[in-house]
Amino acid sequence: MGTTQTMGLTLEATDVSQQKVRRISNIQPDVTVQEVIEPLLAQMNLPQNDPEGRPVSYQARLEREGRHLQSWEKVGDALQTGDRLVLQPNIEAGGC
Amino acid sequence: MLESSHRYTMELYTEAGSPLGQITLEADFGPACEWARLSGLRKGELAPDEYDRCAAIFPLWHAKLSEPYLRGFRIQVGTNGSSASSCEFATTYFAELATQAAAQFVKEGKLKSGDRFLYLLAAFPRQQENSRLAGGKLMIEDIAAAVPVRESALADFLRPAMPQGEIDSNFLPVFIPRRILDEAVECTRRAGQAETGGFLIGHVCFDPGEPEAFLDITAQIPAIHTAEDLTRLSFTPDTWTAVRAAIELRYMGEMLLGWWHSHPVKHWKCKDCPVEKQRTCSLAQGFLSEHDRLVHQTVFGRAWSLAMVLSDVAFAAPVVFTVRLEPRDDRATRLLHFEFPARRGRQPRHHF
Repeated sequence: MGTTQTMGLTLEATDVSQQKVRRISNIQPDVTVQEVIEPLLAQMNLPQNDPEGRPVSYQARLEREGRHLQSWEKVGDALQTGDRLVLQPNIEAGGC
Repeated sequence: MLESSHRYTMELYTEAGSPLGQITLEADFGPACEWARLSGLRKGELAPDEYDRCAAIFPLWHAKLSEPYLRGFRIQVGTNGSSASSCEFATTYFAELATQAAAQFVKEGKLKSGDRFLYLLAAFPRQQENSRLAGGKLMIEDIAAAVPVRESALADFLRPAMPQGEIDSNFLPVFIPRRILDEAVECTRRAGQAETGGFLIGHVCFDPGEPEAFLDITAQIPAIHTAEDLTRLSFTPDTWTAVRAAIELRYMGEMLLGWWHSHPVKHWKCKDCPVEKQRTCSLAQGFLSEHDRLVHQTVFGRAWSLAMVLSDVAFAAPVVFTVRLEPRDDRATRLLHFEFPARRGRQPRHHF
């Protein structure tokens, strides 16, 4: 029988519209929030650069606590299986 | 979830037919899949509770060149043949990617800027891949999102509505109360020389008798926790938290259907132009910049999503444009343009 340490955590992540939903499993506790977000952005086809090539940053909001996670936080310290994250971009409209 | 049994490549050629190179296509089929789902719902081929069923991409082979070259691709939603809906797309869907690939060949000196080029798409059977991401142990799987579609009679909305702009049966009908547009206009006026914006919420409706789907916009929520200036409106993570909280507080089963933002055109460089010239200026006509399109594609990925632009011009009250991004024409935008003179009294819904 596996332990949480070896089986990892399972989380759910969604975009702002809540129409793109992903289940991420087998997350090891010593992985950082950033290391979870990066592959998720690619898998969800969320843009990572603006038209000028500058990075689009995202923050993960933990719905259970109603706060934004820090990128350096360890998954094992901040999250528990079943948690839901919302990936929220810093993004700008405009330009003429 | 989107399944594909093939991997796709793009071959570029000079106009004379000399090969330039080949790239592996990392295309985003998401917009095409969304379009296929919405088309299926509108045609009555997909029931509302089937909206997020598994979809698959199939290559359509070129009539003359045959496999592996493509004339396009088909998205089929639902794998059960009796309840599947499908939509076909031409290779023009990849025109933007082709342009980006050509830009690389310009950098390498194989093409000159402005040169015309040709591209061909090809598809090859995909080898069985490990579902784990390369280089890590994370496993990520797609989960179908619940799409709350309300069964409603289209005629009940059409009866009191005033049609605005170009009404085309190909367009998804959208109904917006006049008060919502007035609110957005008032926000635009108060913002003065800065861009401002908000979010459109409401319901996706479906009339099985027609069959047809349509949007019932019930409110606009001004965007807060933003940074604004003359040509920029920045949305922060707190902006999204606030609009989500507002939707939940209303507790009316509404969802995010789109957004609006203003262009303070009369304060842009247009202010130095004669008013008559401003009337015909492209900046006053309503448009989505590359940044606007990025916001729309990042946050409003559903095919029904709506973008409104309010052009605050010197020669009239703010002019409202609506835009819907469609993947068929290389993500071309469709602009529906109408003006709202100030009015009192009866407040109908506007239909466009």
